Amino acid sequence: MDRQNYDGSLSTEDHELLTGLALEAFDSPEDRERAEHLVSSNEQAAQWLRGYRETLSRIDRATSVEPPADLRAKIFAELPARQVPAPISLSERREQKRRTMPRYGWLAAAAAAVVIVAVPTTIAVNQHQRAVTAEAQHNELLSVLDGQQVKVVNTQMPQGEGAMTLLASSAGTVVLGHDLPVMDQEHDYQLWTIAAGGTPVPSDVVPHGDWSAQLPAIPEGTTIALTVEPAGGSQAPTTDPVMALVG
Amino acid sequence: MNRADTEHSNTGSGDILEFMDRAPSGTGTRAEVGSGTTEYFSGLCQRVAQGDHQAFDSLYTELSPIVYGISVRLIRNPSQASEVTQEVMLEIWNNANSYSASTGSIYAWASTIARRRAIDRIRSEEARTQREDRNFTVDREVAQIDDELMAQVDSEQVRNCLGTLTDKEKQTVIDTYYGGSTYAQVAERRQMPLATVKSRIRSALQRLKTCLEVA
Repeated sequence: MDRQNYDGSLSTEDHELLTGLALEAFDSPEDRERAEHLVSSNEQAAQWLRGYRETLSRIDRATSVEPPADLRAKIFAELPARQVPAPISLSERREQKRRTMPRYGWLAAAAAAVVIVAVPTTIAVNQHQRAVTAEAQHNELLSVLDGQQVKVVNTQMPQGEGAMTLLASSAGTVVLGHDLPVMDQEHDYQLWTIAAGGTPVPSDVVPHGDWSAQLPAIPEGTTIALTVEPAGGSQAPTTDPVMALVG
Repeated sequence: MNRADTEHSNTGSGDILEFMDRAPSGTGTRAEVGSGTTEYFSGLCQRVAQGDHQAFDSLYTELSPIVYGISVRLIRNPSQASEVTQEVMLEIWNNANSYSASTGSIYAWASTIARRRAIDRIRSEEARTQREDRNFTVDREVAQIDDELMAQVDSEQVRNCLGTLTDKEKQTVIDTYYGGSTYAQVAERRQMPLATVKSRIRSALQRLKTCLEVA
């Protein structure tokens, strides 16, 4: 059987295996196995299969039908009880925090670090008794702050293993992350913007290590927080912040 | 060059409670991970994998009409289509952590599961009943089914693209996509060589893929 054409492209027979798999049109398990082997051993075939399936799903979406109204309840009745605690148990955590730390503690700490500078082109962050400089790779971002009075605020994670810097001006906001610990595959770091008296608004999902994020100008008193969220980010914070800064 | 060397501050474990008190779960919007984006669905699946019923409710709202549409079109029995939809949604619940945006859209993922489950159902029914009562393509003209299919399509682009198929291509697509038939069943029913059936389905899907601008 010719698996591929001489030029490396998929043969007609290959495509017919892929369309058979996409449509579930095989007559024998052996045909399915051949198709699955092709897909698992040939990235080009895998891409074509994805394309055929996306094509069918476009038609499926265009011909969707609302299921019976009672089906949702039937299905939810089959679900096991929640496997993990609710992301946020506000009352419980509130009590814990009240017992262990003064209210607004981090707000005061963040505010104490504020420095007003003009036109920063290099920012240094003291971390682990050493200066970590964010310069060349951030210059483009920092250019949005050019000619502005800039409020610079730094913070570190509790054990000093990562740091974050906020640069806020009337022209824009830049957040720099430094040496954030590697995160497992199930979680990501995520930034939040919280206007004074407002609710957390989800912002960028950011990587571990060094990174930078550009945000719109923020009103004075706005908090920028970093939390650990399920991979891909959340619509609302599910954990306490690992770092927070007030701009 | 101005340089801003700032003192390091420590803040440590932040207290999100102050703003969480004012932040009910589920509020807020995001530009980067807006509803309907790949990232949004990846995030929903991660939450479902952790047992988040609210996230599953969102997935149900988005996917169940597609799943039910496939099921009822193939099975043609609303009660059995509901059963299959339930099976598919529970499979999505149980396997949410296996969804990867890198392998396609959430819709294609759900459609693939639904099509496989629905076809398993009709083929097991076929084996049991010889399929006499649901062999609709024998009893009805392709043109009639085509009209029904077209009437269901609520996307002008999809309708136009289906309209680009030749009559013979459309016949084989209807038999497989709409009827759930295998290649050999189509060949037998239409009295045409198996190779011809495969060729027409391949050309039809490739034409649709190009027309719908699927990468």
